Amino acid sequence: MKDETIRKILHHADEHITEQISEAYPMSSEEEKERIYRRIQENLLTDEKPAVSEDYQVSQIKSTGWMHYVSMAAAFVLMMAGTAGAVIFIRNAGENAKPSMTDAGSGTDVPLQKTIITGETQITETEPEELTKELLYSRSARTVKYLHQLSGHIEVWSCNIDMTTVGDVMLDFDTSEFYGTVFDFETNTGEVQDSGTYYTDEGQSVSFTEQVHDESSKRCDIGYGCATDRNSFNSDPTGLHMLAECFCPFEMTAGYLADLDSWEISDTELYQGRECAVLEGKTGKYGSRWDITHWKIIMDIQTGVWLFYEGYADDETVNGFLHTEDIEFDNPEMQVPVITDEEIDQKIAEGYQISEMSAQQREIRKNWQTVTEPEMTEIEIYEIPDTMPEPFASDVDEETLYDFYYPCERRFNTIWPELAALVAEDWGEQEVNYEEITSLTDYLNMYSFIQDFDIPADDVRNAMQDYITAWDAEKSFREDELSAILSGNQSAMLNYFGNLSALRNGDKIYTPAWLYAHSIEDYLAEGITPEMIRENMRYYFYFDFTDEAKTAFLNKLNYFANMD
Amino acid sequence: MTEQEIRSLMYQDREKGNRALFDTYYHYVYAIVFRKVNGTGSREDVEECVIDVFTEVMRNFSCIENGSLKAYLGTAARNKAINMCRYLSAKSRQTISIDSEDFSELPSEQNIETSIEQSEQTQKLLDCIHSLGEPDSVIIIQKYFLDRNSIEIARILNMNPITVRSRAFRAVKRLKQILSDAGITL
Repeated sequence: MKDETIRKILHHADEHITEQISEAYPMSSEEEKERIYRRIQENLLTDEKPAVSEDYQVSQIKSTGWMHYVSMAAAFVLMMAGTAGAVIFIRNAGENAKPSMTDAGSGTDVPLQKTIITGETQITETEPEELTKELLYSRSARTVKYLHQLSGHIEVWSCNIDMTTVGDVMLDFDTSEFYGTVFDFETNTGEVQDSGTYYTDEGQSVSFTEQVHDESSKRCDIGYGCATDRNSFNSDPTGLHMLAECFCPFEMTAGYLADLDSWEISDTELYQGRECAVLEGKTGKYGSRWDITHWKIIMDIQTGVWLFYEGYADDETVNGFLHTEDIEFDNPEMQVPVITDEEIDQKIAEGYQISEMSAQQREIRKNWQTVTEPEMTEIEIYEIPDTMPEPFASDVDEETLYDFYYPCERRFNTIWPELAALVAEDWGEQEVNYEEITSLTDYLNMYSFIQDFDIPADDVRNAMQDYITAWDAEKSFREDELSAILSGNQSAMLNYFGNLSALRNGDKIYTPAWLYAHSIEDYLAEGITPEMIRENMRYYFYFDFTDEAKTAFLNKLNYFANMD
Repeated sequence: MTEQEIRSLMYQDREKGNRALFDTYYHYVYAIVFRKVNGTGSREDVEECVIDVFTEVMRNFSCIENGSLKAYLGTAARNKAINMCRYLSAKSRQTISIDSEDFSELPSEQNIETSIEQSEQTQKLLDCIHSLGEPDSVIIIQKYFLDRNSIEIARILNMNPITVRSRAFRAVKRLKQILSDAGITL
């Protein structure tokens, strides 16, 4: 019997059985019950009104002929009133929908317009708002906090490059999807030099780029997408520099607006249907690299997004600009295009070259899509064998094994000669079952070595002196990394050295090998949650498992990931 | 509290009577509404509907003189839930299947037979769930009848969500074993 069968049978319970269930089991928490009772009391207090909310009442009376005509007349009146209201609303609200202010954060929000609908008329009231420089600076530095979806046309140019970048973009912060078509024009001639189409969906980016005059330059690149969560947008939502100058202008915000004495709010105006502030200011060192001495920005007040920017030299020459058109925020109709595997095939058939690395990424993408598609979420379709098969074939490469069995990166797991020399006795190799590692003290690494032999921190620092900022990245440690090891804070060490594919839970760490070898009961006993597995799922596709092992492992993980 | 006690309380002290009515029949009304609305509406819709049922019954209590109070509440809950489903379906431009039980039509002989079989099957399953004992039986009902996730169940049972998840997993295993031992194939 499958788990889903239990659900189906219970959902088909007749009234007699439903009654039995309700007598034997609570239907909700006490908190929820009390909340419902309070609502009932409120309803009873507002008596004299119809007994129930009538909005979903369905009339049981069949309408007679005259009622039909009266209804039509009433509908016509309502429709006209509604249309008039809508026109007023559109005029007042501008072309775009207002973004939802779900996470204002600063506590200094610009008051939103209050819309009062009274029968056939609609009045829009605007409370006086205090538009301060601090507010705009804060909004501009945290644009993503105020956005969910956006789309529009952007043109970006600065005088130190010969190209003007022009693009149409669509971005959904909630689903982490991005789509953009971008062209680079030669600034002087206006001739298109190269173009690209970019897609990012959960965790992966796919791009098609080409130089217009060189047919052989057509490339398809598939890699990690940076749009994996909302925080990723703090640097650059998509890897396309142009967006970092418009929708998320963090660097320019710091460069131009951080010094509040260097700029003023010169005006407010309706720009592209949005309420905007016009900012004008001077720039010092930051703008000098483009020979910009003063600038003008038109900023959307509610989101901090820059809809217009121009930087000028002393003689008023424009040395950099950002122009936008058709910018739209939080339109629920907006669907960001996501590329399908068939479309990638088609592009490749059109002559786009795909590198070996991108081809590998594509395979990962395929597996990923296959396993995590919505129809696969019914947990009972996953068959988990009682005994897991051998994970790898005999010819698997060493790197794969390393990532599978070790919780941390190699430089942390290595006992460097200078460190080893601090211990006189023969410390040898330990017998370790790598499938059982859940802590940094479970196997030999720099931290466990220092702990086991109680080596003083100063001795470690002296011994590791040559490794601090060494040129060879595999041997190099930063001061803060070494401090983390000496602090004894395992969580901090895992932040610095933990393998991405190993799953973290506080001070504990679970390698893919541990997850592979252990049962779902063990996951539960260790406090691993389905969310944690879902978060890490992507890394497990990389391993070069045998087919049988891959199926068994992914089935187990999927089963667990879907336990809610 | 018996129906008679609730009725007398209603006449003596309406507020206390309302509370007694609510406490006695809350789970019953919730279960009926949930069963009907689930799949069409959200949990909030279920709550709204439960609120409307009680509000209406409490307001019009003086008119309910004859018959069983429980049966009256059951009918009110059922009707409100059906109306809610129709409203929600219309709102989302869904169509209600002509096969839906919400459309009252005379059941065919075959339907009755299937329905009886289903009821027997559900009863057997419910008996086995009862035999798991608490809190596992509660977890199974919350998870599979009420579609609650482990965090919500944890709140109801005052447990850790991880414990709930863990117990649910083991409880399902045990349930399968109990069903298998009893020779019940679902």
